[in-house]
Amino acid sequence: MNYTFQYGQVVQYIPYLLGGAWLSLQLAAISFVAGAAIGLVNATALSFGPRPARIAVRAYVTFFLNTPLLVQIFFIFFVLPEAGILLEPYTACAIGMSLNAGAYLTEIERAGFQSLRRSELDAAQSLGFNLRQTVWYVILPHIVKALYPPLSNQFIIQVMTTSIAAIFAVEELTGRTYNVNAITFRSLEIFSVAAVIYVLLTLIVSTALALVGRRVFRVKAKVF
Amino acid sequence: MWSTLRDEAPRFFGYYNLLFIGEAFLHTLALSYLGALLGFVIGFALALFRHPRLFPILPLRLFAIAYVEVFRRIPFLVKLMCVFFAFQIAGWRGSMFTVALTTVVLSAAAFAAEIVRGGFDAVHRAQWDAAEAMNMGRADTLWRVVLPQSWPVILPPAFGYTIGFVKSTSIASQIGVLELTYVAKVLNTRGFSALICFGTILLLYFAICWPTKLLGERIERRLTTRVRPVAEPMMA
Amino acid sequence: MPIDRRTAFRAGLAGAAGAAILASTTREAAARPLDDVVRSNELRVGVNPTLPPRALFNDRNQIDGFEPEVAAAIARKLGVRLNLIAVGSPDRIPQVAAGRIDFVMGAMSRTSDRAKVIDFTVPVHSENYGIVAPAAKNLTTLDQLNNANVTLAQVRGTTAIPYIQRRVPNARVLLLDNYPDRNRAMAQGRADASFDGIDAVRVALRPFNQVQWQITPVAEYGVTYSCLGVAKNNSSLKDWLSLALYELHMDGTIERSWTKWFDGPMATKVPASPFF
Repeated sequence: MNYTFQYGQVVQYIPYLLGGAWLSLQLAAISFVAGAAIGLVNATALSFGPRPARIAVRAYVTFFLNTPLLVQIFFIFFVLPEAGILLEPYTACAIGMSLNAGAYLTEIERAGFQSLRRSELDAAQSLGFNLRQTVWYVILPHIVKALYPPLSNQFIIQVMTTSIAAIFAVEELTGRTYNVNAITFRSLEIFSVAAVIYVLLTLIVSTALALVGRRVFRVKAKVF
Repeated sequence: MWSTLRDEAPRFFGYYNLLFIGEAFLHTLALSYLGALLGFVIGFALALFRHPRLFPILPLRLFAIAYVEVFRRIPFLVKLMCVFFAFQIAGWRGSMFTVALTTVVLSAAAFAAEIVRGGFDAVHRAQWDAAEAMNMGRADTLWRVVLPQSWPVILPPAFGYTIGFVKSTSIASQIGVLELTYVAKVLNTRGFSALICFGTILLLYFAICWPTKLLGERIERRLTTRVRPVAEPMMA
Repeated sequence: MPIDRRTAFRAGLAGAAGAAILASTTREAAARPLDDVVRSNELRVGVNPTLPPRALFNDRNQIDGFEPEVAAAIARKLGVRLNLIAVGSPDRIPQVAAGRIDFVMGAMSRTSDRAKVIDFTVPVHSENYGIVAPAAKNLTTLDQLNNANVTLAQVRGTTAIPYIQRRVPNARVLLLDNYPDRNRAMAQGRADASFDGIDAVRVALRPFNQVQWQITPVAEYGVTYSCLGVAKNNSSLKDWLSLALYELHMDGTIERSWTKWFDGPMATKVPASPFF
């Protein structure tokens, strides 16, 4: 191999890339929160909603879980304008990612609610808890414990998923990597730097989430 | 919007386009299923290396851990570009399909290693101890004690994992692999509406993923009494 | 377990060393000189099928267009089979440098920056620049573009971008992946205009005929020349290609093909120069 790696040319762009990583985190956070809200509504509908609502939620989840996010965003980006709905690249990606995450989070949140056992509620009743106390001391702690690890995991997935936004001219970490590649032609160098940033970024986020989980919610979430 | 769809449908579903879409469909299938299968073999080996009882060899173990952690934390698109440029620098004259397949295999190995590890962890400590006490060798322990109990845990998530790669291969369109998403882009550029191009491939992706998921759920129901949705591993 | 730890550790190290040796003996990348191309009976040419009418997928979804036609004429002169390989904008230069393709087409404007990485033959065609915008926007001068309310749709890694940053620094720039996405961005109203090569736009914008387009040449940018991009120091192939191009210019093959695909003559003629 007679290729000489030249990271020297790439180093000057690292702050620019880190700025992109910050944008990636923002996009991940937005789509995660929106997706969690969608998931909450859907999980409630699945548990208590009328039959048509349950069917609609199931259709939504099945469709979004079985088609690629990239094509979903293509649809939002290129097909909706044909119907007169023109969204900014960032908005289109945020909506696509939220809808996609919403499907995963519906499954996760529903599983979390279902893990609540009848006997726990009976125990609360026999202890003479009122509704507020039951929700606050029994239901919420249980659900938080059950949901915290899979939700943390989903957030990490969201962080990595944001890279798809680069294809739609959003200048997050991967988009900026493409830009630097076009200027320097040091392709492998710049993409490997981006890869390292993603590894470190997700490791930091995983560790932070595990620590918060342990301190605040007393959940034993593992980093690895 | 709907009237354009009706007008262009006969032309869109013409002979040469169907051929083109059919070829892309097969490429998507080959890329994801073959990639997931090859990746599973490597991932299985990684899980063996990682296991403290099966291979008490520190460098191998560290390698397996590092590999799994790194490859699960890089987005597919970034991995794809790294493999793509690495191929060029190394002078391997593989096609774009080979580049994409390599990327799928490299990522699949990391996710498969985690799935298999989960299967090994499901076997109780006491069983390992018993096997050791009976002086069973590693191969025997693995084959006769561990695997029979691990399969029911390993198999169901393996379907979700395969679906994940069917979806990830859409990103291979970025380097010009002739798969479903690439074909949609080409036909869209030729002047067909985005609705018919992307709508068609969405249905085709669904036609691959949905039966795979159902099959996974069916197998899971057969292997265990508990019904869980087919979990998909962490990937993007 | 019947394996003691020290042996195991050694075995692991040996394995790692073996893997390292295996990895370091990969085949070297090398461009193929003229002799090798002839001997293999195959000429590998990179074209970008997302750049109609330079290269495109035709009604039968095969790669076709101006560049494949010129490449076919070159392969005929060499007496070998033509193998067209689809390349994209970000990878076309690395592909040549790595020897995966013998030369690259795809609107390879000759620039001093690119010439640090690859060599160029004599020009194949000229590239003329200007502003493309929906007629309703009435954007026809660079000064009109230099406005924070104007969004320019451009393609990553193209030659016009450094110029735009210098000449119209106030315009917002939307950097897209490829020309079809750029065209669609303008047609759908995501961007107001684009400053780039204008030779191909008339044909490339045909699918978006619901929009009335305005194409304004901008002489200020100057004319660039697109050449065949060959790997550095592959002079046997490069010299032969230049000679072949001279003949194709001389007998009018290139101009004829251009007129057919671009729906009109080349805006700035490329004279067939006997010296190169």
